[in-house]
Amino acid sequence: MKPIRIAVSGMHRGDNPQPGASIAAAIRQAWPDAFIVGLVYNAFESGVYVAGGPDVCHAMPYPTAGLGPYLTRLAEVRAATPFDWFIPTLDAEIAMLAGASEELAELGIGVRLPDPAVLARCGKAQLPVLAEHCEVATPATAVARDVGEALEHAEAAGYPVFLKGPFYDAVLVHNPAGLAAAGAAILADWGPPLLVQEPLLGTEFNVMGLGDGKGGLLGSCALRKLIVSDKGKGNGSVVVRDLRLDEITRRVMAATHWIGPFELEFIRDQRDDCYRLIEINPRFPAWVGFPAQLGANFPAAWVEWMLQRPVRPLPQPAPGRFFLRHQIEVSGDMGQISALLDALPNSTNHDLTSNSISA
Amino acid sequence: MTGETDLTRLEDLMLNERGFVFDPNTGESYQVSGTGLLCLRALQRGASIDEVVAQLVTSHDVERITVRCDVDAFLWDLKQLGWL
Repeated sequence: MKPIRIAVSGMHRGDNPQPGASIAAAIRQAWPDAFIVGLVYNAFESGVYVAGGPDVCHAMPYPTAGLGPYLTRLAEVRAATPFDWFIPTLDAEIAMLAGASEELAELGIGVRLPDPAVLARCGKAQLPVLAEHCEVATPATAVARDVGEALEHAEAAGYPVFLKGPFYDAVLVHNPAGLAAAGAAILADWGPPLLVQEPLLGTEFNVMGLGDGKGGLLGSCALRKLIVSDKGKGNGSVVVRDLRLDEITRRVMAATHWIGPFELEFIRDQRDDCYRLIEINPRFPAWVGFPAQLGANFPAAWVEWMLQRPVRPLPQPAPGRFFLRHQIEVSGDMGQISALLDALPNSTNHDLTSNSISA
Repeated sequence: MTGETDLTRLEDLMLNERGFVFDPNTGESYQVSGTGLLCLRALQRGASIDEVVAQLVTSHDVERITVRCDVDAFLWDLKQLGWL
């Protein structure tokens, strides 16, 4: 059988980890001879330097550079180190590439993503409509085009509120001044819209899964966050099994005919013990490596699905199994960084210290 | 409370011999005393409240009325957690 050659992005770990390094490890767990190409935005993405990590890495222009430069660079990378498939892992990449499957196919690169209409329907701005359709509770959310509108919404809702961007960032603001500052920062980073959302008190739960594109699931895994970082990341979580979460997940899949990896974020509201759907992430979460250690290898199942091979339903990890995020030092050589930067012909990305995109 | 208990949530609880209790539904964990553990295990096996009380009276050499009061208080806690 021809070895799998696949590109993966999102190789940064650290305190705001991305899923790419865990996806690479999970693919290698299933196919030790897989050829994995890491696509990075920053030479300091730590997954580049992990033992058993990507076979080769290439620097990419940020998605904000536009689809054209991104595809041009993908073609260059593929010419240098051929690969057949690409698993994008970052929201901004997915938003850009979802409508570009034909252009990608012309480059000989297979990418399987939900279509742009489905992505829009599951985006933060449209989430309340989808949630109502699925009969799932969601926090009260107002969409604002600018800071002025956001201030009006917050005034009507009453402070504090969460202010969110279209892809990333959620800031709890307590007054108009705080909202104005946070809103300006989010708009500068990600553009409109701004979302003004009621804050909820309760425990956070996440469900990761794979949609089969027909309204069904290839598998799912539900967690309760045990340790939450100051960025809201789950640094420790435990597997749970609540039939209500399973049912909500099934309803969202049936309503969207979701294709591929996803993560649903919930808060179990302490006022009424109801799950409220906070967000749908159109990608593998950073903790995708955890179920892979327990026999539920979601990235491998997704590769099998893309290759149109039979996919056995993934087992649900046993409740009570938990993970703790553990940071270690990986070592590299400045020559490796130099090689990454030299490989980028358009010199748009030579800032060694810039922050990479968050998952 | 002398009849059969609702085992829907109770039977899902994961217990170990040190009294550590994990609720797979909520992801919460708890620590119970040896007596509480004995109670939970008996209830998971489908014992009635009267049977649980009788077992504790025998094993702990305590008056039945005292045991009954303690068991009722424990059952109240379990109800608050949605386990009964």
